[in-house]
Amino acid sequence: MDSYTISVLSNIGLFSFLAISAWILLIAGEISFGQQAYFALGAYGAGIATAVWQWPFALGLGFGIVLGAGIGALVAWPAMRLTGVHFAIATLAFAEFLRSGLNIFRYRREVGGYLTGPDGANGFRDIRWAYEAGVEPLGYLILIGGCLLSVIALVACLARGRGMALLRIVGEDPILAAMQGISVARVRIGAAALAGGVAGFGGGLYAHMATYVEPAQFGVMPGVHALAYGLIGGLGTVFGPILGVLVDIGALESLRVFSGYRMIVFGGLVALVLIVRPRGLLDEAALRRGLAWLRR
Amino acid sequence: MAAALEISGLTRRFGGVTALAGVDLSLLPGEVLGLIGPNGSGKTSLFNVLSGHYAPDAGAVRLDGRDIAGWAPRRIARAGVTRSFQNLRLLKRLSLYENLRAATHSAASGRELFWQSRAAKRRERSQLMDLLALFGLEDKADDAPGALTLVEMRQLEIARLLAARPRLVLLDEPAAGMTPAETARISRIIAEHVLPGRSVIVIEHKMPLITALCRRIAVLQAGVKIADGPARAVLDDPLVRQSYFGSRPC
Ligand SMILES: Nc1ncnc2c1ncn2[C@@H]1O[C@H](COP(=O)(O)OP(=O)(O)OP(=O)(O)O)[C@@H](O)[C@H]1O
Ligand SMILES: [Mg+2]
Repeated sequence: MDSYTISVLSNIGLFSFLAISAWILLIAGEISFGQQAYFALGAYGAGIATAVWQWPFALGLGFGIVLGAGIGALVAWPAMRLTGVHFAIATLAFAEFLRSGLNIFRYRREVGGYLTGPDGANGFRDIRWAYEAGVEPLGYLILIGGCLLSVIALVACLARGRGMALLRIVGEDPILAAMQGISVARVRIGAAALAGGVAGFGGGLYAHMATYVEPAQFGVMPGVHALAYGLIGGLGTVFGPILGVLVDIGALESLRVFSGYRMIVFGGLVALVLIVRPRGLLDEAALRRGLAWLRR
Repeated sequence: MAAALEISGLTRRFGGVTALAGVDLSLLPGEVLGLIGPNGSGKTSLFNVLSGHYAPDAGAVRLDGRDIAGWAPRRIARAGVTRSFQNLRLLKRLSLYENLRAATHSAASGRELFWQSRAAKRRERSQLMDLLALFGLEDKADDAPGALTLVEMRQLEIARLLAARPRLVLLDEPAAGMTPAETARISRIIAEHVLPGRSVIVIEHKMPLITALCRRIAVLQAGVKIADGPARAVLDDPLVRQSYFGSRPC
């Protein structure tokens, strides 16, 4: 595989984490423009853990996940009272708040004679685990793919158990959910923690691939795109958001025909899909038909 | 016998409107009460307060001795109170099967969020499919409720209510929008499957359903209970006839 293909596929994989994160909240009936915040938390958290604290890579990634999930739950607690547009604005506000926070966040320590760690707006250099361990780009792509599979497996478990059903019930009618004895607050906080953890996972992987992260990378655009991926790909299955990423990054960004027109084509595509299939290409009806077919 | 439900002085205002003005009502275990009254008399508001959707401004609601007034809907549901809705409240994006299953989640363990064993899933499926089969809906288990007729939707709501295994059932106009034949059918279904072993309050404007199911009737008017007693006596009460049926005794 040539390095261009590897880098496109790696981007698709990493963006899938962010897209699945936003998709989980969409299922729970909440629109978030701010999942990049948890991606950033994962990137910084995992980066600090391996580069500054010299933790093993897996522990560092785990720290990024826990950080994303924990802060996700913490933010969800007050934000839960908000719905619709108000919730969406709150997520955006938190993401921008975090980004400005990272702009002044300095945490540099001497490691092996060099100063390492986040340096405010100058970013965070030398997150070198993959480089020092001699992991080639192809190897890292396989690692990203494996991690993505583990997230898909987790969602599959939730779908097999009661988790996804709870998210969908609360997402469609929280009042009815409460009258069925379901704790809407707990489901929403759980969804936010799960979404934050998934984004944090992707962020940690991203930081170790890029070796350099800076606050400016976690602006509004990736958050808006992540949300759009679930919306066009569909809310029926976890493959919806991944399909969305494939369409945007796999086709529009990477094929030369669209160069320069990507945003226009993508915007038009989102509008078109939302008119024709309001719940995305692989929507709940598609899921129901699929399940009925499997049972036959 | 101790009452299953004892409501006293229940009051709820919406701005200038007093939907419930100090309502007293009690229900014995296994008793079926018909609740009637003109439009806007506070019947649905009573259910909304009983199910925790709205907190009362004053008064007490004792369920098996505990005062549940002002409890959150989730807690009241877990205490064994389940209701149906005047305007139907179904999950349109989920299958019929998942609509029923919605009533079973709160009783499950946290571990089941992530995993249900094959045996547990099979047991759950056979129970819920039996319930769907009671209403002849088993062939549509994987469809969305949007494809159902009105009667089937009401049946699905009743099936969901049964899936929650409630002790107190609140039915809000289960025959709304139905023809006389459909009303007779839903009334038979309620008599057969909902009433046995449960305390039930039924709101309905269709008198055939009320008289078929309830030996006792209470009447609300402008948030006040104006009659409560044996069905025949209440329906013959001149005050009730005047307020509800608009016919003056002559
Ligand atoms: N959420 C609310 N906000 C404001 N007013 C309300 C609300 N709910 C009920 N009301 C008012 O309370 C009064 C009682 O309404 P309720 O729905 O309980 O009547 P009802 O007896 O169920 O009538 P119907 O037979 O038409 O269903 C009405 O005047 C209604 O407008
Ligand atoms: Mg009503």
